Amino acid sequence: MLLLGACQREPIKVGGAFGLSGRHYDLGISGRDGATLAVEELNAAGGPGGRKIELLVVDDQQDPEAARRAVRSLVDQGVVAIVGHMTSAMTEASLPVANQAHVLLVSPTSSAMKFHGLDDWLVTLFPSTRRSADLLIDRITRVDKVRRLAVVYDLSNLAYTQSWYDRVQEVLTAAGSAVHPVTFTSGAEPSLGEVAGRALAGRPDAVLVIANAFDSASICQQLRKRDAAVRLYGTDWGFTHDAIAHGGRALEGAIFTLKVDMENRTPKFVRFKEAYRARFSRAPDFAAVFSYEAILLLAEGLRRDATREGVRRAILGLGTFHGLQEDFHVDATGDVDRPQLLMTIRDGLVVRPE
Amino acid sequence: MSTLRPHRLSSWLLFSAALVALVPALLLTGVALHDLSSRERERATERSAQLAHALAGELRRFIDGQIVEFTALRIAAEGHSTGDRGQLADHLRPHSQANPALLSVQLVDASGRVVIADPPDPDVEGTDLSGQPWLKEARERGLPVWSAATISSRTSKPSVTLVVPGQRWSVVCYIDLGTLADVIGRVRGGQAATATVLDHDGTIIAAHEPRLVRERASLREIPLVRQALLGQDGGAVIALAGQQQLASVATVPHTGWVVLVAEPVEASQAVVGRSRLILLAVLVGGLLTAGLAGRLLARRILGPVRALSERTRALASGEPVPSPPDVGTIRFRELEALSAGFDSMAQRVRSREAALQRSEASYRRIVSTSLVGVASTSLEGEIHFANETMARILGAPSAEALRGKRLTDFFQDVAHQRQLVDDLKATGQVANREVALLTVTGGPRTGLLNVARDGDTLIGLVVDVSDLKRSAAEHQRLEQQLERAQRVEAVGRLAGGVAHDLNNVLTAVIGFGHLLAEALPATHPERESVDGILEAAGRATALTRSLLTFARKNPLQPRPVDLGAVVRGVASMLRNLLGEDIEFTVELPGEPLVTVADPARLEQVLVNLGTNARDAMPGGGRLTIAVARAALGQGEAAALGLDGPGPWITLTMKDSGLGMTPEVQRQAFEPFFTTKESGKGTGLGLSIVHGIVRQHGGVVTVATAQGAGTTFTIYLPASDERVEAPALPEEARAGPGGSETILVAEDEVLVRQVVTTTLRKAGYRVIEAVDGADAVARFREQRDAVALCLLDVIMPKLNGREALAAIRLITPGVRVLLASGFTGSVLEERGLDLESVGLLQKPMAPAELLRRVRSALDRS
Repeated sequence: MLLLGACQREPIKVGGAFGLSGRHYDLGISGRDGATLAVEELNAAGGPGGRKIELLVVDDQQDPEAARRAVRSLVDQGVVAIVGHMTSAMTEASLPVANQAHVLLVSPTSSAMKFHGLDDWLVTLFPSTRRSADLLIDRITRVDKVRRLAVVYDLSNLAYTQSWYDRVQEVLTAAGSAVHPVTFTSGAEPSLGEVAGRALAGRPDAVLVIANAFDSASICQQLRKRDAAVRLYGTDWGFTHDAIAHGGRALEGAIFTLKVDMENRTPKFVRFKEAYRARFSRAPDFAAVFSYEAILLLAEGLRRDATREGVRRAILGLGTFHGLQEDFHVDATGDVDRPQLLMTIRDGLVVRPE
Repeated sequence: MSTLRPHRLSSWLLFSAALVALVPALLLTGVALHDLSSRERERATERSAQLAHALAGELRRFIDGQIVEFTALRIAAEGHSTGDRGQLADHLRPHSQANPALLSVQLVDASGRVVIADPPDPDVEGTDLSGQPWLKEARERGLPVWSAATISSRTSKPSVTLVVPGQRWSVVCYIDLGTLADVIGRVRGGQAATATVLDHDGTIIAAHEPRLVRERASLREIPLVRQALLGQDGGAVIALAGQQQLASVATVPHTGWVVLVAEPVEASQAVVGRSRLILLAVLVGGLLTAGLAGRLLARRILGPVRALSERTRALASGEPVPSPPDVGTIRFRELEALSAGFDSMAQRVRSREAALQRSEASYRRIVSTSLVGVASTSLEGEIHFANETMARILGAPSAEALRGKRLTDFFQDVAHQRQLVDDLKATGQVANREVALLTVTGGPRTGLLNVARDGDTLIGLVVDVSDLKRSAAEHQRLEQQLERAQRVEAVGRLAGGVAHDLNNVLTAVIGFGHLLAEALPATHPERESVDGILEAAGRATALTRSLLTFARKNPLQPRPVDLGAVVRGVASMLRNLLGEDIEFTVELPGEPLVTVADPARLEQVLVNLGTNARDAMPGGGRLTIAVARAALGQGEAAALGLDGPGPWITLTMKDSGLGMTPEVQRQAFEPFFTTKESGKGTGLGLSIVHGIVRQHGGVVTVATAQGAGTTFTIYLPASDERVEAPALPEEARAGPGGSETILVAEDEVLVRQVVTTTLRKAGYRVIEAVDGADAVARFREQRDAVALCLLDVIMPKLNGREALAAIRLITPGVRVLLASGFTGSVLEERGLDLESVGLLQKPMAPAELLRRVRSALDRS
C-alpha cells in the first residue's frame, strides 16, 4: 500500500517563465534548457521528497503584458513556484502578480538593484547590478583611467540597463569623469551603425555597451569599424558565446563583468557542462547555469515544504546554498551574494584581463 | 439445500444463445483486428518512411540547389577584386532577387570581413565574421557548411547560414527557414502526419509550428533522433507532443539534418478503428439476432412452463386452475407430459383438499360448539386461537379478543403458572389440573385444565367447573343444614316425649299439691313444704313448656301482627336487658310488615336473642335489630329451607360480639347446648327461638365468625291480612263450677284423681274411665247424663281419638274436651279435628281446668 501510494504521488507543478521569442530569446532558451536539464536530473533521482517535478514552460515573449499573462496562467494551473524571468524588465512586470498570488518567483538572471532588499515573493540568483557595476567602474577609473565614457544601453530592458547606467554615471561623475549616455531600443533601430556613431560623437576614451549578445556584438562591430582604438566594456548580459561568435575580432580586448567562469574546473560544473552539451548539443551559457541553479535551489525548498507558502519560507531560511561553482548565501529577503569577475577576450578566448 | 438465489431460465436461455453467437464472433473479430492492426501499422510505418525519404530528397534538392547557386556565385566573384564593388554587387543582386529563400547574401574576404551585402546594408558591410564557427569550419574544410539555426538579428526570422568558402571570397548566405517549412509543407503524408526538420544538433529548424523553430526546441533526447543524427534512418513509436507517434527519420546528405515524419499511432490505426466499428456493429447485430432467437426459443419453452407455474400457483392458493394455454403449432412432448402430470396431480390435490376442508369444517364446528374452552397457543402461552366457550369462560367479549393474550395471565395464582410450565417441560402435558382463573373483568372462575404439546403449539382445553364447585359447596351446606335440622328435630321429639310424660307427672304433683295445700290450714307446719313442692313443680312446668315450645308442641295463638310493632313493643325491655355498655339500634320500615304469628312467642324470640347478644358482648358493643322485606327468589328460599310461595319478611339481629366458632355454630340450636357457665343458662334459648320460628313456618339462620360478631336472620312468611287491635287480656278468675255430669277418661291414675277431685269440688258429677274402651262403655251406660266427655288423647286400648269416634257414634253431638301433653298442631297432625272438640293443654292448673270445662259446657 505504502509503495503504491508513493508511486501514485502527484507531481509538484513548477512554472518556467522564459522569453522564448522576441529580441532576447537567447537568454530565454538557455534558461529553459538549464531548467529542463535540472528537472530531468532531479526526476531521474526520484524528485524532491520523492515527488517528481512537472515543469510547465511558458513564453513571456519579452513583453510585459504577456509576462503577466504567463505568470497568471501558471498560477491558475496550480504551480507551487515559478522559475523566471530571465530579464529584469519581465520580472518587474510580473512580480506584482506573483506577490498577490503568493507564488514565489525564482529568477535566475534578474539583477536590477530595485529588486534587492525587499520582503517580496522574489528570489534572485543573480547578484545585484551594483556589485558588478562597482567592479567594472573600478577597472574603468582606477586601471584604465577613462575620463570620457560613452554608455550605450538598451531601453527594452530598462530595469537592468538603467541600474547600470545610474551607478556608472553616479560614480564616474563623482570621480570627475564625463559620462555620455546613448540609448537605443533593441530591434527597433534601423541601423546600429548610427547608434555607434552617436556613441563616438563625443570622442570618448571608452564605450560601455549594456545590451543583449547580438546587439552588443553588432554595436561593437560598428564601433570598431569607426574607431579601432576606443576601449570597449560590456556586461554579463551582452558577452555570451553567441556575442563572441557574432562579434568576431571586434570584441577583442573588450572587458566585461561575469558571474560564471565558464572555464571553471570544479567537478560539479564540469559534469554540468558535459550533461548540457550532451542534452542540447551546445555549450551552456551563464543563463543556463543560473537557470539550472535556480531549479536546484527551488528543489531544496520543495524538499522541505512543497506548498506555496512553505517553499518560500524554506528557501528564505536556507542560508548557504551549494552552487555549481561555489557555495553562496541566500539572505532572508531572497538576495544572493556571490563572486564577481572581470573578463576579456583575447584571440577569441575569454580570459582574465591583465 | 443451496442458499444461492436460483437463476431465471429465460435469462439462461438468452445468455446461452448470446454466448453461442458471441464467442466465435469475438474470437474471429479479435484475430481479424489484430491482423488488420499489424498490417495497418506496417503500412503506416512504410508510408512515413517513404514520406521522410521523400522530404529528405526534397531538402537535398533544395540544399543542393542553394549550394550550386552560391558556388556559382563564388566562382563568379573570384574574378573580382575588393575594389570592384559595383561589379560584385551586380553578381549578388540577381540572387537576392530571384531566390525567395535568401534573406541576405554577403561576400566575405579572407580576413572574415564583410565586403558587400545584398540587400545592401552599411551596418553589415565591414563587420567581422571571423568569430563565427561556421565560417571557421567552412574555411578549414574547404566545403560548404550549414550553420545551426538562429534568429536573424536583422529580420528576427529563424534562419540558417550557408557558407561557401573560397580563396578570395567566401559567400555567406542567410536562408530563411520558413522556406524549409514551405518545402515540407508541400509533401504531406496524410492528414495527421507531420514533418519536422532538425539540424545536426537535433534542434528543430523547420516545423509545421514556427514557434518550435523560434524556440530552438531540441528533439535530441529522442533515441530515434539520436540514431538519425549518427546517420542511421529508421522508424519507431516515440513520445512526441504528448502522444504516442509512429515516426520515421531520414537524413539529409551534406548537412547532417534529419527529417522526422510522425503520425499519431491513433491516426495510423484509423482504418483499424473503422474496421473495429464495423465489426462491432456486426457483433451487435449478431448478438441481437441471437437474443431474438433465444427469446423466441425461450417463449416457446417458457410459455408452457410459465403457464404451468401460474396454474401451480393458482392450485397452491386455492384459486381456480386455468386451462392449459394454446401453445400453437410448435409443441414439445416433454412439456405436454409435464402438463398432463400436473392435471392429474391437481385433480388429486383438489379431492384431498375438499376432504380436508370437510374434515376441518367438522372439527371447527366441534371446537366452536364445544362446551369445553379450546385454545391453541405458542410455547410461551400466547393465544393464537380460541373458541367462543374459552372466551366466555375467560370473560372476553369474543374469541378474537383473546388472540395475542397469554393463557397463563388468566391464572389467579402465579404458583399455578410455574407449576404448569414445569410440568409441560417435564412431561409435555398436563391433565385435569384444577386452576383458579380470573376473567377479563376480574371475576373468579375455576377451570379444569388439560394441556398437550403439539410441536411448537400448545393445545389447551378448559372446562368451567365454577358452577359445579358452587353447587357442591351449596350441597354440602344444605346437607349440613339438613343434618342439623334433623338432629334438632330428633332432639325435639325426644324432648317433647319427655316433656309430655313429665307433664302428666307434674299435673298430678301440682294437682295433689294444690289439694294438699287447700286441705292444710295456712298455719300448718307442713304448709311451707307443700308450697315448696308447688313452686318446684311450677318451675318444672315452665321447663317442660320450654321444651314443648322447642319441640313445637306448644299451642300457638296466631294472629296477623306487624313485626315492627312487636319489635317496638319489646324494645324498651331489651334496652334494659342489654345495659348501658351496648349501643342498641332499631331499624324499622315505614310500613307495617305483617306476618301471622303469636306475638308473645315472637317477643320470647327477641328476648332470647337479645339475652344471647348481651352475653356475647361482655365488654359492650353494638346491637342492631332490623325488620325488612326479604327479596328472595324461589330457589334461594328453597335453599334456606323455607316452604311456601313467600313473600318473606326478615327480622335481623346483629351484634358486634365475640362470634362463634364453626363447631359452636353447628350446635347452636340444639337444646341444652350452652357455652355459658353452669347455672347461667339453660341451653334452651336458641332452641326455643328455633322452635318458635319453625312453628311459624319460618327459618332462622346464623352468620358468624369468631371475633366478628353474630347476625341472626329470621325469615317469616309475610301476610297481607290486616292487623287487628289486640283483645283485652282476659281477667283472671277462679275456675267456675257446675253440676253437670262429666265423663273423665284418663289412664294415668294420678292425673285422673286430680281431675276428678277438682271437678267434684267444683260441684260436677264425675264418671271415671280408666282407658278409651272403658270410656266408651261408661258413656254408653250413661249417655243421657253425660254433658261433657273429657278424654285423654293418649290412652291404652282405645286412644282419645278412637274413643271419641266411638262415643260420637252413640251420641253424635256430645261435647268433648281432649286433654293432652302435646300441642294442638301435633294432635291435628294425628288426625284430630280440634275445631269440633276443645283441647286442654297439660299440665294445667285446677282453675284453668274448671275454666275450660265450663267454657266447653257453655258452648252452644
